[in-house]
Amino acid sequence: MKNYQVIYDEKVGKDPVVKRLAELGLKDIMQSKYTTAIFVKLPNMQSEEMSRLEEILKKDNLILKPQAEYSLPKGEGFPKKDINSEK
Amino acid sequence: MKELAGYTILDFYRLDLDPEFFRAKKAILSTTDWNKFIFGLSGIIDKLQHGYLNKLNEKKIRPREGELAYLVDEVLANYRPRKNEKHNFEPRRKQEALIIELCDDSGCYSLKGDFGEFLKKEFEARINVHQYASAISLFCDGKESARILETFSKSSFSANAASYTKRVKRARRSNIFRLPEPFRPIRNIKKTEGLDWNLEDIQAYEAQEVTRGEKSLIGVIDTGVDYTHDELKERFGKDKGYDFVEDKEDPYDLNGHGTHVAGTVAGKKVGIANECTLLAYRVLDEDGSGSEADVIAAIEMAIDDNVDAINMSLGSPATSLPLQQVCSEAYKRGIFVAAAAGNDGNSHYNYPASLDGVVSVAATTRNRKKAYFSNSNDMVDIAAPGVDIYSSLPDNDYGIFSGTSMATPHITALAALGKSLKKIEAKELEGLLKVSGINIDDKDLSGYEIKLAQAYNLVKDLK
Repeated sequence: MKNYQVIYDEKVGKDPVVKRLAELGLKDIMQSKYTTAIFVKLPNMQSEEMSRLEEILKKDNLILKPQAEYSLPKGEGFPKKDINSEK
Repeated sequence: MKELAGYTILDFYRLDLDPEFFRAKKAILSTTDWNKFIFGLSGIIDKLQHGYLNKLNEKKIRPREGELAYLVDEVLANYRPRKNEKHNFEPRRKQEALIIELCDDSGCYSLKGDFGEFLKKEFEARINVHQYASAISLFCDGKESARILETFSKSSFSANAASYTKRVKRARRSNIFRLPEPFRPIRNIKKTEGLDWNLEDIQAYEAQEVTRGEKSLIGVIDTGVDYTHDELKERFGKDKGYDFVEDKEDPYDLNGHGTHVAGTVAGKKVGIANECTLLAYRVLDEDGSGSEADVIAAIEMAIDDNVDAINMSLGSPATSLPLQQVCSEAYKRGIFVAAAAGNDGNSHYNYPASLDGVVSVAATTRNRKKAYFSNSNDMVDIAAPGVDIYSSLPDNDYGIFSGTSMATPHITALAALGKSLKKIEAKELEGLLKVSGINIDDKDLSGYEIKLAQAYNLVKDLK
């Protein structure tokens, strides 16, 4: 599964978009309260399948984008497995 | 800093070239306290890097990543830790460094140029030719080292080398040690004098005479927090926060980063606002990675929980509209949001730090310089200590981390102090932080002026 977001127009509102995504069979969606995005998890798709989905959503004025990945700043962190191995 | 399989090499030859470094080297060699030794050493590395970067800056040379290479030398080899001293600087058994000191007739110590190229060719580019040391080094296992030393000691080699007017002065073996590089976390550290330099540098103790952040509610969006730690357990109420990674109500820290950050915000002894209340939102897994959806969901929950400030010691090089929207919502509601500027040591933007309405925090050293790894750009708002920061780790442990992540909770804690004294909007608080901060000498390195935050200067006017 990969993390994507569907950006919608504020004027349209969230509910019709959620309904539309359900019609398209997109499951595992997370609604957001203060943003104009709905977060979805999509199975790994061939690029053709992905383009088709993007086109369908585009017709509904929805933009499908991958989510940004967040991490600790470069070089930081202390994974538990390291803690244990040093004990 | 040049790193070989997690081991950093320190060049103490260069220390002798500078009287200040030479004094520091002598001081740490004479100490019998392992902790002081570690900190002395890491302080030197820090100075060294600044010195080196300054030198390059003067010459308008941009150092390449990994160019800061140093040789292992007598400091570690001579140091004898006392029995039962805990440390993680063990010699790496199967690998060693060969140090080959060279000289030429003119006494020039730079090996750049043809001779360096010749050596690289001879040893298949495994050799490190140091720009500021009259030595070269290479890494090999025990079997190889004898053969290589023999090669260097052969007169035929010297004859070859003579055409480059360089010759071998001394060739010897040295263990490779793990050193306190800036990002290598050190754990099992007992508190000793000087470890709280960050609290002193930011006027935390003076500010605590005025307020300890009572009534402020702070959200820490990170790898979770060990809310059972003696430093932190009184800072959490019944509601500990939320784990967005595993979608459950227990935001326990499986990495250590979030507990360290929370300790700086509110730890009993290691923290600044040590009477505020904390909520932990876990968005990064045990490897320190997380999704945008979880980060946004955590900010939204923090908004709904009515926190006074949010700490985000995390980032991404990519920005997004939803992230800006949710940060703007927090800002509109007067919530102070601080985020780490990033550890790339350049002027690149890191998000959420570089978004509007988010206070971007850079890291400073004991010498009140910008840390060499700290990003610095026109979106950086303020700086705080971020090198060798002593704070809490899971399982009632303590340790030292460095990074802009460690600087950020200092600023969040200052927001907690400020907000405990006066109902104040994020924008006003940000302005006061800047006005009450002190200038640090950074222009030569990054071109951007950064102010080091000062807690007492901030709170005395809000009293």
